[in-house]
Amino acid sequence: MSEAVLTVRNLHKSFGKAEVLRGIDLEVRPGETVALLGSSGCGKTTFLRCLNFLEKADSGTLAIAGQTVHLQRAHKKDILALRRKTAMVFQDYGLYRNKTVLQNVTEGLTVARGVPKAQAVTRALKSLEQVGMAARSEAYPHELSGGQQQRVGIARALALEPAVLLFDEPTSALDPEKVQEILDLIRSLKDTPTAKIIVTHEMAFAYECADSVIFMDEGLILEEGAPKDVFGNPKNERTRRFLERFTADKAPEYFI
Amino acid sequence: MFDASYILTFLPKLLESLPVTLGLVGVATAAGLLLGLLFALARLEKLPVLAEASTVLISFLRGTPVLVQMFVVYYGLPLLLQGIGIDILRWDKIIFIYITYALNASAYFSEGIRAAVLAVPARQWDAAAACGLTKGQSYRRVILPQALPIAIPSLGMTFTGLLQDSSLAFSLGILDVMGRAKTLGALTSRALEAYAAAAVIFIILTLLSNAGFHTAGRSRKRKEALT
Ligand SMILES: Nc1ncnc2c1ncn2[C@@H]1O[C@H](COP(=O)(O)OP(=O)(O)OP(=O)(O)O)[C@@H](O)[C@H]1O
Ligand SMILES: [Mg+2]
Repeated sequence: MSEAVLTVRNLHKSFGKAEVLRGIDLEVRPGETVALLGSSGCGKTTFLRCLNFLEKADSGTLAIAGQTVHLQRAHKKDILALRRKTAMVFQDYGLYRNKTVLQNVTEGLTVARGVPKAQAVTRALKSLEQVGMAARSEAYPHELSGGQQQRVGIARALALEPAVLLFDEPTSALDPEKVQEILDLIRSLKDTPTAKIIVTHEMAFAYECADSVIFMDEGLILEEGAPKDVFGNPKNERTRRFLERFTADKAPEYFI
Repeated sequence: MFDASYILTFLPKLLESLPVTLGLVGVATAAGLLLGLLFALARLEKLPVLAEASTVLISFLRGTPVLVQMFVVYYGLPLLLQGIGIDILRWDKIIFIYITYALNASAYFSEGIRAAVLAVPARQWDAAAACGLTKGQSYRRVILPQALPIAIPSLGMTFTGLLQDSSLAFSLGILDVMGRAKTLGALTSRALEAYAAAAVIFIILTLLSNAGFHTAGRSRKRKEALT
């Protein structure tokens, strides 16, 4: 088993008086796909945003690809360096509205990573090819459908070749028929060396695509393990109840 | 009585002073935009001391008549700077006018810019940061380009106001379009016609400016569909 590319120890985060994350520990190995589940408001988004410092955690340690910081006293420089080892895909795509598809993808490469323009364009086109959007590289985000925008969002993240790729409900804003398309695309990334943490409510996807599933509740990780263990035999009562809600109406064949 | 034909004879004379008015408005716009951007950033980024100083200065500039500001700058600034050993008493009057209008416009520009930056969705900041852009890079490459089209109508209004307010510069004896109209009127005893001619010029300038900002705002918005 290879060494972890991402290690989180005892991460805490409060908004005012409300403690939203109450001591999270997590290790993710290179190439691993982790599905992060939990009911609304349990802190999934906040946790993901703490990993790339879109939120500043109050305490704990975070190590990504060999660089460790104490979250209490993370300096600007450390934050930037750590951030540049990650990339993020947003629920609402978050494409730069003033930039074309191609510019959306090259921006982080040229500006943040210092990749020369020509090289950045080559890399960007390769990523756009991978998500099937190379033909639309001159379009502006508002000219694209939600599914297409999310493809670009994924290409933008992939082009950065991050050590850790964070997905926050990448299909929640999509039409039902587009959801599968994007999930298939994410599934196709499975054998890349990038570690992937995916917040999702798509249980079937988590079951077949993730290497490991995490169930979060009220700011804590309650259960963690291989999908067939967490889904098939949840140890925690709350996990069981959470999963029942999904299995009751969907009754997927994998539980039979 | 009122003889409209004088308007036509006055117009060319007043137009000779148009460069003074346009120069005044141009300098104030350029310097005001730059200052306004700095004030806006100080407040947006909550820079210690600078943010508070900007807030106070802006509310002074927006809360007092430009004529008062002109006299404060013209009579007050030399005294103030004299106190720290800088002598600007012999500066040309027009410099004080430039400073006044630049400061005055900066207050309004700054509020327009600040509101526009706040109108850019927070997700754009997230996306820029998540891609590894620094704060400065995010501003320059993502946020400000999106804020600009949002700000254009408000910047346009400030610009038009500046155009009108510039006519007060004659109070310090500046021979802009308005100053010229005043002297022409006194010289010919045709004050009403002289001011009417000045009004024609200001109306045309305002219409041109409105049209300019309108097209600028529309074309940028259409290209990027920011609304
Ligand atoms: N910026 C903020 N300020 C104050 N409270 C916040 C902020 N962001 C999140 N919270 C609160 O923190 C808690 C966790 O929110 P979070 O968005 O992480 O949940 P989530 O698990 O992602 O939920 P969902 O599945 O609905 O996306 C919620 O109670 C939320 O109201
Ligand atoms: Mg969320």
